[in-house]
Amino acid sequence: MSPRDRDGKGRDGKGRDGKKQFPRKGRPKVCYFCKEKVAYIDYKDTALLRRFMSDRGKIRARRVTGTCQRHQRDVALAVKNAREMGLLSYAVR
Amino acid sequence: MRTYEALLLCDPRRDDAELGQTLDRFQALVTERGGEVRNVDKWGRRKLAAEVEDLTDGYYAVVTYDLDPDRRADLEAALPFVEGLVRSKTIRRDIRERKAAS
Repeated sequence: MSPRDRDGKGRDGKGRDGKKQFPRKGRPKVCYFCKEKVAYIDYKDTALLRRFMSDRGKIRARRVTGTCQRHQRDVALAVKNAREMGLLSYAVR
Repeated sequence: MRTYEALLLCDPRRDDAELGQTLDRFQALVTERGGEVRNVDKWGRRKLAAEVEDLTDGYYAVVTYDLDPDRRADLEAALPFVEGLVRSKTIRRDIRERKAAS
């Protein structure tokens, strides 16, 4: 069995259609809040919320941080509450 | 009765005595409505992450209090008239405690 038969890719890392394929690497991300069993995401805890924001102040996507759907909603709400009170910045250009 | 937690953002240009008056006024509004102030956590002056109403700094305080839910709207309506209070945000503390218990 050649390598191409097994995973659809040759030694050059290209698929059958010749386009480069990007296999999923590493272990799947786990939601931080599920793992740590965080019961409530406090909007006043800016140090924690900053971990889920980019340097520009944007809320990081779920696919980047690995947060589950439910907790992503809570994070987004907490960030927005914190912004209103001047604890976190709005996205800057 | 329900437990609430309010984060108050006060004008830092006022001196400490005036800031104390602002906090006292807020607490008086709660007690006038049959509520009870449980705790006042003064964070003090802090730099704001973003400008709020043209301010770059702010004086923060967290007030935890018990109040009848029916009087909440009444209290909220009185807040714009508290001198030195720039912005406030109130959350229900019981939701947090219930979530923590489960």
